[in-house]
Amino acid sequence: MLPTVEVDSRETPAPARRNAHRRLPWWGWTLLVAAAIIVAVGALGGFGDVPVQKVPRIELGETRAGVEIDVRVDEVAVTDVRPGTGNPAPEGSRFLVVEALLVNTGTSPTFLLDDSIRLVADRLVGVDDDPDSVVEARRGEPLTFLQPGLPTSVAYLWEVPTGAALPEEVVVGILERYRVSDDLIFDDAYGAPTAVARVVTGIEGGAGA
Amino acid sequence: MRRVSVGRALLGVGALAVAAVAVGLAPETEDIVRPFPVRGVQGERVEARTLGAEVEGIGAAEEVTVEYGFAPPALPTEGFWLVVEATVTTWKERQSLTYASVRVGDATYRTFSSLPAPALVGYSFDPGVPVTGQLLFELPDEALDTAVAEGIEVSFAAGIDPRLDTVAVVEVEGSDVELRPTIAIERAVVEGRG
Repeated sequence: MLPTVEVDSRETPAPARRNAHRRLPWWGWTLLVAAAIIVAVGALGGFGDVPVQKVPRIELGETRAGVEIDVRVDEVAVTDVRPGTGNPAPEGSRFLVVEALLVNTGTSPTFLLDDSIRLVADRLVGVDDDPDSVVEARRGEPLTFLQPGLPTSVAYLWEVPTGAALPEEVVVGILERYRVSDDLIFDDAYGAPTAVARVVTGIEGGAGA
Repeated sequence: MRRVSVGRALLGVGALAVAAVAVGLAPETEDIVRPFPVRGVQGERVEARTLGAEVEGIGAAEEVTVEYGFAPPALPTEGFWLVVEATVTTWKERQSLTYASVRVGDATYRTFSSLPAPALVGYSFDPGVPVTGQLLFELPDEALDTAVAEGIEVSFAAGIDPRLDTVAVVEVEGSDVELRPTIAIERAVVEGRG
């Protein structure tokens, strides 16, 4: 008599086990979906180089309408005296002056004044150099804010050594700032001012004028 | 996988919606810390926590001349000058009138702060000693029509920051704005000694 073999009926049937081997594990699906997303992004050009756009150029005397301030750059000049007062520059230096007409388009005073204009003049003045002073161009008093709606002639002054050679062309950058709506601390927070337009011009009274 | 009942899911969505509405209705920080106005009219003394202010007159001119100090005699402007004649008294300690503004229509203008001393702005007030002088505001041309049609509010506050503090606000009728060709700016003086 042959020995009896007892079969455990709780064991998984053989065909089902083969199916389990063929089924993709969860991480396989994850990799597959990730790969599909990467391929789709690539196919749509998502990994291509982002073109760097030059800051738009405007002309001297042209008004650039801004979010907070409208700006018209009228002149870049070199002078030995402070605009408005006629007081002489400190000994051994003179002023590079950007004169602009600004209009605050809001309904309350704006304090974006020092940061609204930058000058790049070869090695004399760099894009990170704050103006040494900002004054009302006709009266000469220091300006800290702009009244709403009032056209204001503003002179931005950078002191440069008297003997320094001036470039034939300079670039005046017009900057703008934008509200940061999700700032955690301040409702009225602003991001860092950003260049939105540039004026390329010579220097009145300089070598290239 | 654990099943989430439809009821619980709806409850979660509802809670998020309520939170979104609450965030949307919450006041801005600027509104929370806004100064408290104490209002009055021209010719009466308006008393805030740190000072009292009385507006005696308002004039508008295209030109002002500064009659004292080292300032240039005439101040050119692209707009017009609004000149507020006022008497200010601080109460508690020696303080300066660091904040003064006018409201015309929906726009607010800060005071011109470059007058030579002694001027109302920048004056160091001894407590209880009233000082009379002028506040100068540089406004755009189009604000003049609004000022005459709708009137003006003049605000005074001592200290650096008027937020969460009382501010004296004087309401002036548009018909009381006196139009003149030129206005002379005089030094600020202790009341009665001018």
